[in-house]
Amino acid sequence: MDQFLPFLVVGVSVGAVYALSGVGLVVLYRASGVVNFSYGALGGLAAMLCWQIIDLEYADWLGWVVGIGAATLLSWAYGRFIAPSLTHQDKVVRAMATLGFALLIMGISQWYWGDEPRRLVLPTDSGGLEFDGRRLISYTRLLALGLAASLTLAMLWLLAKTPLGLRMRALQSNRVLSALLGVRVKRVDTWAWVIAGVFAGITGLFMGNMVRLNPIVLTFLVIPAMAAAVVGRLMSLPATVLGGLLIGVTETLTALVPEISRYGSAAAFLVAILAILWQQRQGIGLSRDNSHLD
Amino acid sequence: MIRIENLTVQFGGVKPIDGLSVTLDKAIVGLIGPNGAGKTTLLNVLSGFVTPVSGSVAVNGVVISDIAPHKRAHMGLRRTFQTDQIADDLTLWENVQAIADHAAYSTQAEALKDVQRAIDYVGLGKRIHRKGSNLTTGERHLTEIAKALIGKPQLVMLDEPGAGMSESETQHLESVIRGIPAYCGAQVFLIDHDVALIVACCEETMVLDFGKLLALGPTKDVLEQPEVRRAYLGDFEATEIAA
Amino acid sequence: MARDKEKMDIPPGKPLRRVMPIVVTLGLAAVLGPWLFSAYWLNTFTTVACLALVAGTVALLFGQLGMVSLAQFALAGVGGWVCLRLIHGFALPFEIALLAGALVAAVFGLLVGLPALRMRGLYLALLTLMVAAAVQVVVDVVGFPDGGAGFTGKIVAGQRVLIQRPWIASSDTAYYRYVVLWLAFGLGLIEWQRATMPGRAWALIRKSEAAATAAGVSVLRYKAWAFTFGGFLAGLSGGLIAGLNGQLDNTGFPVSQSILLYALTVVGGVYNWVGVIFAGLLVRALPALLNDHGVDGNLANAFYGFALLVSLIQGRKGLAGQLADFYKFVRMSRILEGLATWGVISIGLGLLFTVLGQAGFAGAFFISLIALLFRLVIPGVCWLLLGFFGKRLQDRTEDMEAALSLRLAQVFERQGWVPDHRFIKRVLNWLFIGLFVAWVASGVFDVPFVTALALIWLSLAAKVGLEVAAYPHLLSLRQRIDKRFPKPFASYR
Repeated sequence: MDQFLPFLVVGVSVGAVYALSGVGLVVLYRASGVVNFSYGALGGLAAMLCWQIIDLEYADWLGWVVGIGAATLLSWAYGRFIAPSLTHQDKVVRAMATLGFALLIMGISQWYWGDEPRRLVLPTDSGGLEFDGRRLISYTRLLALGLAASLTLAMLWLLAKTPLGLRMRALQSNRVLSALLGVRVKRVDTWAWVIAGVFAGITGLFMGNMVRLNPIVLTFLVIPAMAAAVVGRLMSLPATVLGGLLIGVTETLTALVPEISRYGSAAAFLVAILAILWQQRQGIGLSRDNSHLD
Repeated sequence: MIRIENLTVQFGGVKPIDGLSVTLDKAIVGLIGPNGAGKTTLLNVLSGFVTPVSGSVAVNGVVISDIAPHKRAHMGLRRTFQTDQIADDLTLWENVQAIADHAAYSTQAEALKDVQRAIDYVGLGKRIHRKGSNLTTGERHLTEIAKALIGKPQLVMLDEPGAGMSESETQHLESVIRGIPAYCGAQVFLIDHDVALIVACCEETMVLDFGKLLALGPTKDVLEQPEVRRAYLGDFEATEIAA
Repeated sequence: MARDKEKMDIPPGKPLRRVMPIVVTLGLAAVLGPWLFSAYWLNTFTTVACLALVAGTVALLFGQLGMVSLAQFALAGVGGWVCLRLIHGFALPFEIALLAGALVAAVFGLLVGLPALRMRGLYLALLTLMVAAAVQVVVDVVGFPDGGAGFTGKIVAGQRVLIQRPWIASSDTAYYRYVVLWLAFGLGLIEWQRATMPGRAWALIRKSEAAATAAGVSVLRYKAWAFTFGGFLAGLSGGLIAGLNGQLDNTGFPVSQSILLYALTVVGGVYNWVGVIFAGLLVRALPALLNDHGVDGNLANAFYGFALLVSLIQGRKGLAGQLADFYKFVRMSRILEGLATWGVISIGLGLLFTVLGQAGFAGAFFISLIALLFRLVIPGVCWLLLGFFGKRLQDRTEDMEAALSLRLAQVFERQGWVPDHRFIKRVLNWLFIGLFVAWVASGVFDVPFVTALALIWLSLAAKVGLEVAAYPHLLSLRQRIDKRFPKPFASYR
């Protein structure tokens, strides 16, 4: 048990960040129908900017603000200026456009900051919960867990109880009808992108701290986030959180078994394909507008 | 002949079709009803895209409930869709040929002859090389019908084939629909809102309202029934029905 | 005007006719390539051909069925791995190992893709992305076989073993031709299917899966077939890449490359086999070119992301699509005239520059040809670039330029010169073509920048001169040709 615990702690906290990313992805998807491949890239940019600010000897909190702010701003800009030109195309194309956006941001970040090893240090790194004189879990990881839980609850509350959430759900159900009913589609969409940007920024900072501070690595951390979203069928927030935790734990626990220890990063794929196989059992039907099987 | 027994479909809390039992055996049967009455759902059940919660459907004596959607076409069940589904990058000829590719013929030449025959029947013989995206609405609907006539269909289900057509196009559509039983021996099941079209083509009409059968019988009689008028045609005295 | 062209009824080309251009063009490339390019560039173009084959599968899945597969390059890795392992372990002949690798990749792709094929298209995109990531991890850990024992075939200590190329294609030149012929085979097979029953079924599915099902098409079966076939060709390509260097590098199949391949296939054009060649060039040759000129690869990636965005917004016809739109509707006489004048100018200038000792014949010939091609397809290149930023900006700039040119034309007229109503546009075009093509050419053909520039501008001037001088005399000939071939070029496919 002693052996397990540190790995479990790491796995759960990384999983919590995956879960948080997944929640951001799902909320955006539910409101706008776009699977945002640039999620990781935005987070990466946030982390790099934060590091840069701290490196320039400015206050820590300024780094966080600038990082998260930049991610939010870019996400908002995409949703406001680029996404509208694509709304008439199908979901796959719109998702691929965000892939282009991801490449763009990743290319620029990687060009500017390169591959040098760096660390993003958060003030909560230096303390933690102690047990029996040993560090059990750092405050950073606790914070990640706490944020995952609280922000997910906040999103659930937003979707279920607020007018904005109602409009988001209306949009997801039928975009055209919602527009006809007077829902301000652009405004709701924009809010969804802003929320996604904030989530991307926050998770980016955590990933930069817990995983690695490198633009390319951070960009591709969108993959476990998507796997988590797949577990949630791109719909259910609680299931997404579960998926994220599962992936995080699986990834880290593979380190305990020497034979498969280096395959940890393929955990996302494994969890996703199992989830899809499970969901398949429900069979095929017809989408609402009779245009495709769903 | 279509025989429906105690059919019920449920989506969440909604029952688009509720305990429907009806036998339709005339050559051309119409289906009308207000929006949301379950007409397209019935078509979806017949073509296999919607699974009923209970009840059974048999076409020409064969129970179709367990047959996969794409196999129903091979059986001879054909349908058109409200939003037409013509492939934009294929020509009209290729669109219809694509259907013939999956029907059973003894030789390739026979298949191509069937394609030509169907296209000529709906009157689009001069347009065979026009790309799908360049066809007019009327032409697209007619192509959809031609596609449904490929092979040896037993049942041709038309879902609002006249939507967006002009007066003269609708006249042409009428003669096309009326000739289908003679052309290929199939039964025709026609859903439309255009009452004049229904009256002109269908010997027998079925009226659905909230998933239940409201009336069934010779078209003129059904349309004169007070419940039907109230539910569908509206409550005004003088309703012009084409003779 | 464009809309009238669209209305012309062009019958679908017969399968053989549609495959012919691919076979002929690639055949020519295979034969002429080694004479024109240095060894370094020949190797680059061999890789381009392999990448084009993978891009072809991406285009097949996305263009024909709307399916995004981000795992095609990873499947190439799988195919390459199997090929290497079989050759090292069992000393199988190259072709057998190649095909076996392709088969394994196909089956592997089908197995992992099948669950997602039944579900929304988005799921396939997500799943294939994860497959690509998983393959990257596995390849990173396990590495590629290089002569060792055991399942993974890795040499622990000692010299790595390279595989031999097939005996008919052991030299670089022969291998280039070998690969290009495989490319022609793969792309030809895809085009054949597009022209026959599978292509029609794919078109139905693309438009509406429900309608396709109602028509008797088993959507799942056709999607699975396309995915399997795509996996097969991708795996084949992996084996060919392995044969090129004798080995594969375990950092050679990262996720980013899969994504980039998808992005650039869309930019190149997914509805056209030419677009697939463009994609191969963009993925391989362009970074090499940029490297030569000292541009950071990451900025190139950023640009590709931007280009993907723009391509998708503008309707994903891609570069090739825009080219095709052009040539399909011109008359036969125009095509013949173009071929004649281009031939005369390129060969003439090629000979001239060779005689003057400024450049090799092949290089000069090609530079001239490319310049003429650019002039044709990019009538207003600045506008094309502006098109990236939106149609309105493009239109407004064009209006501004037209107004200015008109003023200028009035001035010319008053002086007694021939008024050119789009003078500014032509000047800008010449400048752009000159500078851009010279920049590319100086890298690819080893010709000094200034020489290339001079060659290009001379070619353009010669074309204009020929047109002005010879046109009146050729008019009656053209009219006769047009009478003989009244329909647009594409109908003679």
